[in-house]
Amino acid sequence: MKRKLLAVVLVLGAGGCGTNPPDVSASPPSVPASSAPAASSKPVPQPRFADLTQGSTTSVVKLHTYDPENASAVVEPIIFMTGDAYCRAFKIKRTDGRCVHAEYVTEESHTKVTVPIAAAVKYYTWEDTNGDVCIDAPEKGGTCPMTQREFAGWFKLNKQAMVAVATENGELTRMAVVYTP
Amino acid sequence: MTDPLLPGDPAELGGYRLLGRLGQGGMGAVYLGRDAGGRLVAVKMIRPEYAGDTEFRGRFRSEVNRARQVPPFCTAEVLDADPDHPTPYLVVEYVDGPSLAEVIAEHGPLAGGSLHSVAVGVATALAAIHGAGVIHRDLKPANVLFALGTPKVIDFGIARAFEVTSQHTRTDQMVGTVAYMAPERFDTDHRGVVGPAADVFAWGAVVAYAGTGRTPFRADSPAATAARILTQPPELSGLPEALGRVVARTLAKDPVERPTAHELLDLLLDLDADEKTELIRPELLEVATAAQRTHRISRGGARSGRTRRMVLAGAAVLALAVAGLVTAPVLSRLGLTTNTQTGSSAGAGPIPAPSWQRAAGGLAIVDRLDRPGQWRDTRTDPDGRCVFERDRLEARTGMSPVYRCEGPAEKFAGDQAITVDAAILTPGACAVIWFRVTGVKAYLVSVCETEVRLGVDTQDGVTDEVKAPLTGTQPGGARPVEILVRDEQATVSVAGAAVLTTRLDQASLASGRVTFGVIDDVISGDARAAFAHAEVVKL
Repeated sequence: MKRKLLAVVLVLGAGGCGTNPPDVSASPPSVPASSAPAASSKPVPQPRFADLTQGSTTSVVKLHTYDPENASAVVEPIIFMTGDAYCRAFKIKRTDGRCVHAEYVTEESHTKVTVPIAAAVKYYTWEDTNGDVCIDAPEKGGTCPMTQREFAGWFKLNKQAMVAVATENGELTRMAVVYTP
Repeated sequence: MTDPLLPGDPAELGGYRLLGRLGQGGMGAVYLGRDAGGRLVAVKMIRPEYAGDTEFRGRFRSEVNRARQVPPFCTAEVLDADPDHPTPYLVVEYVDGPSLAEVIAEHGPLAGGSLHSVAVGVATALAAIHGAGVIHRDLKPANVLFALGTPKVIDFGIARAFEVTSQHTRTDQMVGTVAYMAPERFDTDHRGVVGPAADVFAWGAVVAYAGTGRTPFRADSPAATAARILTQPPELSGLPEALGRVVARTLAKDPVERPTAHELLDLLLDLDADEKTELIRPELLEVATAAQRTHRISRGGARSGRTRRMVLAGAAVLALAVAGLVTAPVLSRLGLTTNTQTGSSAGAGPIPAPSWQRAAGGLAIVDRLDRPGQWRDTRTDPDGRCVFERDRLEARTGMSPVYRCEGPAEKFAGDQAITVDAAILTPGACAVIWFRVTGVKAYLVSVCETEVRLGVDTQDGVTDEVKAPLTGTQPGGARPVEILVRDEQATVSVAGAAVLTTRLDQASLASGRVTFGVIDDVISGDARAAFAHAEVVKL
């Protein structure tokens, strides 16, 4: 599979230091879906995030800490969608920059959850040792198996990176590196 | 200082009139230029030997695109670049001021507010740089310039293009200065792929240099310095104690043990709230706070249309319809039913559903406390310990009659709700919940055998404490405790019943962290309390 590249929404604000104090109010946060302009007068759908504390589910998360020794991870569930799908899901005008230019959009839950890692957890990456890309669907992360040690090494260099996870009975059973450009 | 142009230097590059030379580095010459609008700029002209390297141009283009997305929080803004020019160049904001290296050489080490401003300013810059997905790779005092007294970091974002090229062509060179290089940079297996933690290490070395006039691993030669970096603890004597502790964390040998740039900024601003706020220029504090916000902003930035759009069939379904989802503004409350490991509630009856609703987009922390996660274990502190045993966090006193566990760095302000199952494990012990922790000061709620107390924890002890009687507590039995703060009024409920309400009137405790611990109320020498199923929510 050819390497596929994704674009993201520019969300960082401008500011200054010392000589040019920034307009802090102009620093835009990631736009919450609830405040996004609606295409109609119908209620705007609210983002829903996976509850990783119980049951079985899947989600893309920001991986804040990874502690295999204690079988523990601190994650933040996020929504990870193409700009096009995001605008359709949240009824954002098609002329919005996120629909036109963004190749993916993330929406953060601002919820940090400590989740156990199952003993039989499997790890995956999107690029194998030969440099071949293995991605079926971006939101599911890579599909090339990697070892726990390789995943730990990757995490050391990629704090707070996005990982696609699956849980069973409130434990992480799959952790797959999500490709970002 | 600007030197005259040398023979052979161009008079103009990419429409910028070149006025003089600012410097010469491995990447090429840096010129003082003027744009068409009359603005002074710094123009970096890439060495001709790189110009013919197609791979280099690609990397240069990629790195420049990323660097242009770095918000100018204590950084010199990238204004323009042309990777396709016969002589590739980069144009950045011209910062008219001395470097940190020059300031130290002329005036000696910094102290007080000046030192703290450098620490916060450079950390702010790193937070902005890392937030855009860029790694500096060459942070050092010469790359910290002072504009009207406040620091700005320069030369970020394009080092990787050169580093990779250098590896291909000159394997004996690395981008960076040895004294500020993290241990992993000497690991040939990882050369060129170091992460942002290497910049955090360099921050520690830069701040140590700023505060003491010497680098923390100083030795007689670069090789000896590298050896010290790899094997010896840093020499930090002379730094203020609180700042020194932060610097020591950033100089950890293992990159995973260092704070991220945003965590570093949190740590430094905590120092501010505690004791140093008055020492930092208000505009710097404002920028630092703005940079903190980027922490929760989505990674990455807009990319050009060169990339190919991928189709995510069913992505909306993924986000909206997968089984087991919850609505974001209403975080499910955990741990209402008693955990068998922490004991059973004695006659508490059914617990009513929470009366509060999470603020849209507000922060929340959820932790079962059955293993290290957002709370950490401390096993070697003589003052006490916090350990995870029997699926709960157990706090024990040691040399000190009070012990506070290390919890998450996130700060909560205004309305908030804290819920946790708390158990008193030894007679005379109180399970304690600290909130709005700012340095050593905090509000604390003590859940004891016969009473609940809420007061202000200070360096000199607990003040302004109010009490209410509590019945039904048995050692070993876990009871759900909730602290609900609304409009600066705190209500403490135990097992669903409100037992104490009081106003929070400490202006210095407007926000802060949350954590748990134990108080030895009868000085038994071994007080223990346990916690499970913690949840902290911004309302």
